[in-house]
Amino acid sequence: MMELRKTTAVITDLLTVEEAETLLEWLQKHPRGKLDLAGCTHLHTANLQVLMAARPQISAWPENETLAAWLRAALCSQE
Amino acid sequence: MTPLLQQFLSEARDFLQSIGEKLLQLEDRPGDAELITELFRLVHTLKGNSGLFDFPELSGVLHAAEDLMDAVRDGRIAFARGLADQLLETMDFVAILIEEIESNGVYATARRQEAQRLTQSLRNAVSREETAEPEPPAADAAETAAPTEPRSRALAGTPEPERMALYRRLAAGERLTWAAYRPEEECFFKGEDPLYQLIQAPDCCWRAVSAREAWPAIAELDAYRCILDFELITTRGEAELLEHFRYTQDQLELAALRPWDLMEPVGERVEGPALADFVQAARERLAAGDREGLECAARTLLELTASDQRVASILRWLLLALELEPASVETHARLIETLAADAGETLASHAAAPETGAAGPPEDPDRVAVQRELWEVQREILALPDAPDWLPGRLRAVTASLAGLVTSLGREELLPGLDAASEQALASADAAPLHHWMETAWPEWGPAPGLTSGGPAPTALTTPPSDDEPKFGRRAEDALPGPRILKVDQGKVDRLMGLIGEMVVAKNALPYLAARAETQFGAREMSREIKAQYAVINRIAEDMQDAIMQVRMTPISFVFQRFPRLVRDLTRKMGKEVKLVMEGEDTEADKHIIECLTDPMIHIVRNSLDHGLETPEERRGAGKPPTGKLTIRAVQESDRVRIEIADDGRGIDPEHIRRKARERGLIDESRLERLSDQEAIDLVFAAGFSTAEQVTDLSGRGVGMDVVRSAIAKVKGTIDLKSQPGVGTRLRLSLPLSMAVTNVMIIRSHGQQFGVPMDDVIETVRVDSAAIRTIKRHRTAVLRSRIVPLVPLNELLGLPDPPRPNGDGAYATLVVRIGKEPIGIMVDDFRETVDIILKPMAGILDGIKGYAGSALMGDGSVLLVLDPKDLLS
Amino acid sequence: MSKTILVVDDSATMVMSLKASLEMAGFKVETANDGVQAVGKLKSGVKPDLIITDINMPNMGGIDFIRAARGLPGLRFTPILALTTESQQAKRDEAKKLGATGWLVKPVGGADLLKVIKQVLPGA
Repeated sequence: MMELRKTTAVITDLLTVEEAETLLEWLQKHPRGKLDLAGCTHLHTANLQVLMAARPQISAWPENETLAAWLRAALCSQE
Repeated sequence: MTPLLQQFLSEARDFLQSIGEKLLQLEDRPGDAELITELFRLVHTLKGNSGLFDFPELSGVLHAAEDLMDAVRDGRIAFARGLADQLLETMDFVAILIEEIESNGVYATARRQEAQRLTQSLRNAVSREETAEPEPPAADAAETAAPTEPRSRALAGTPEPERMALYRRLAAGERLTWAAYRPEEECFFKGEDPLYQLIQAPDCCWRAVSAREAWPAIAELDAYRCILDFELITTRGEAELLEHFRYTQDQLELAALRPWDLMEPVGERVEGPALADFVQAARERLAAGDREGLECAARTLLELTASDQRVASILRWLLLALELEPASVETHARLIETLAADAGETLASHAAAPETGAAGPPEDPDRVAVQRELWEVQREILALPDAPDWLPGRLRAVTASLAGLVTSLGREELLPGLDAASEQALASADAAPLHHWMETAWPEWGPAPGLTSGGPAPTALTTPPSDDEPKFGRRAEDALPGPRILKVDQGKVDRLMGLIGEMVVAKNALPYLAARAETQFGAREMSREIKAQYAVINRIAEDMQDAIMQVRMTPISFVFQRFPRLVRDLTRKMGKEVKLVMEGEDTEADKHIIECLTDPMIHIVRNSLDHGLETPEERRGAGKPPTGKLTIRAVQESDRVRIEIADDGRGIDPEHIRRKARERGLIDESRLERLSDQEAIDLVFAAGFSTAEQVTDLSGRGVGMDVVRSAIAKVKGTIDLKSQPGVGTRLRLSLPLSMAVTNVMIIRSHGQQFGVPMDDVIETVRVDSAAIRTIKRHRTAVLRSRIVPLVPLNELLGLPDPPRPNGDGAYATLVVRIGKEPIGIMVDDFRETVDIILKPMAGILDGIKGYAGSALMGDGSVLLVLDPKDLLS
Repeated sequence: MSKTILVVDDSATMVMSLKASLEMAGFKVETANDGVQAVGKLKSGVKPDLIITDINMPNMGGIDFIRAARGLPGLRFTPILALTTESQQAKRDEAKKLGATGWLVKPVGGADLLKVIKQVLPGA
């Protein structure tokens, strides 16, 4: 689920494949938008792809360690 | 019995029926692809269902039948009569198993052998046409084991310390597997979520995500075209990863991680003369086995080199390799040659280097499928029923195959366990130890494949999933196409019928109540209201009764459906040719009546095939077409069902019947003379009559048409036989549609009430005591100018009282017909006739002679209903 | 909120078995006897989180059903598992190509079934 605020999108629980489009739109409109993933338990690959393309600032990483590890691997690499 | 098993058994019977029908149809249309597909589907589904339960023989036989049908479907085997026989036999056997499970919960152990024989013969039928068996597994083991070289760009981009940590684990003897997962672009549209699969992948110690192409501007991104590549390193083996990613194996690349996969040097490339010298010296020391000298030289050079240079990186790796794997000369050589390449030397060995590893063809998902299949085959072989003669050979063969498989999978460490299990199995002449080894050594290839490891699943959701899909504003029930059929256990319907019966009776108490309200309490208004309510309840109760009758209605195809098979089997056995024509299969009647029809009808059809229809030669001789015709037809006529079974065979010769009757002394000579032809023919219904010249094993089983007639009579049916010599015979059965409501007359005797079914009563008369004559101690009276024997009911019931005449000295007498003769039953008094729901006697009362059953009356009392025929017999 | 699973199989035994296992695990279960009926349910507003479908069915088989389901609104991304037997590798591949997420191999037992569902259905 996604709560879109002025500067931050707060993701909680599961971010579904359908929500990838909404997330993409929000990031298109808010190029400096931040993401709070602390409460996110899983996000669908389509969302990951959106994040990798948009590279928003992550203000909080997921508490779920495995998910966080994968997201860091995707979003923090030097490439 | 669990509801699931019950459901399975009930459905299995339907499947068997359809399979039988389809097989017979297929004999007429052997090339009908649609029919073959349907037949395969039925066998396949039945087999699939059987797997839900622990009936290995049942599943085994069905599996073999499925394979045979599969071969037929694929055109590998032509469908022929022999095949049909085999499959029919198999389905008969399955039907027996089903029946035994139904009644005992299991089938007899003796069935195992039969199952084995059938399975084998089905398998033979397949393999006769096909020879391509899988090759011995050990042959290609070496090729399969070879991993591909990780081609990972991402790994090179990982910080050196992280890679060194992984190297330490490898050097410590840990097995690490590298995997690359490259999902299809359209994978989201197949319900896939690659990241979710990766998160669940077990024991990852390194991971990377990259895009296959440059990211477009964010405004042009297609979120739903997947262009991500994933890589990971895990401590789990390749087999386990293949199982985890089993749905997308073709998008997976796997390899055992090797040290040099990690040793990618990083840093600035700077050439220097010292490097060439070092390479030269290092090569010499390596060749001489001077590890310490090599280490010392490397350390010195490293101190002289800036740490962010590429050379420094290579030297760090070399030092680490010398420390962790002092014996691994190959690794050391590779690193030195890398330095050499940096030093500008051309070295042939560099190009050759990757070949020194165990290179081979890439891991092929098909190969894995083959391995998996071989594994399954071994399991199946082990599961074959015991055959002591072959067992040792079989066990050795399985062991050899498994050893080859294990080697090919790179799991040699499992071999000692396998050998131990094999020895144990051979010693005990039992496959169980090997079976056990298979389960434990390779649990992920267990009999019911599932996931190897769930991995860390996301925690449960508290938020509802998105609900933004259009709902069309309709409810789910609005558009459910197709017939909706509910299968219900018969006991439940019977219970409902019983309850409705009680309801019908209970509502009859209301008029009594209305009468009492008026007469005892003077509440006329109340009385009227009760009567009004009664009218409503009465209507509903009648509708309910009608509805439940409809539920019990069963199409006569229930009986008819077995005739094609019966006719086919019998005619083939007797060398006759008969065309069976059936009409009116959808005609319905109460389930009980339909069920009671089965045996008599089978008997009639057998008779017709055996005695009525001639052989082709006889028929030709009589100027008839060689193929005989048997017609079975059902029609509904108002509240009865009429069934006709007609053949165009030789018919019944009345003279022949007269002769037989005379021979057997069934009837006295004088009456025989006076018998019309029709009456003579009707003698076939007499007890102990058999017209067959010779008793065949088909219909001559000591059961005659008399039994057929009494079975039909039991459900209040009649039977009528017409025959014309040389032309044919026609039997006509007439049965009630339903027998749930019985009209009975209430009578009194010995101070009790009894019911007598009106169907049995010809008339009720009051016989004046003066009109009773005693002939040979039997009371008789002349009624309608016939002498009718009279029997007091009390006498029949063993009650001491004599019948009581009424005030005028007349005896109430029920005239019933037993056979063709009327008999008078003397009772104390007649009462009204009522419709009742007759319940057969249950439990210990079941055995009591003379009663048809009981019924609950409106005032709550129980009425015993007599069966006069039974009483008088 | 419990997830909804649509089970499509012509065999009442199979449906009964799956339904029992799934309901015991807390799923809401919708059922259909063939592809035609299943499409009807989907069109009438049933929105499953996961579909489990048999392959061999009269009227509309599983392969055609998967194709049809993928064309319906709201089902583009829904995980679909094909119910197959061990011998149906070709069918599995075909189903996969046409949009199935994965497959189950009959007989499907309780624990294995849930394991597979957990693997394809996030949050299950």
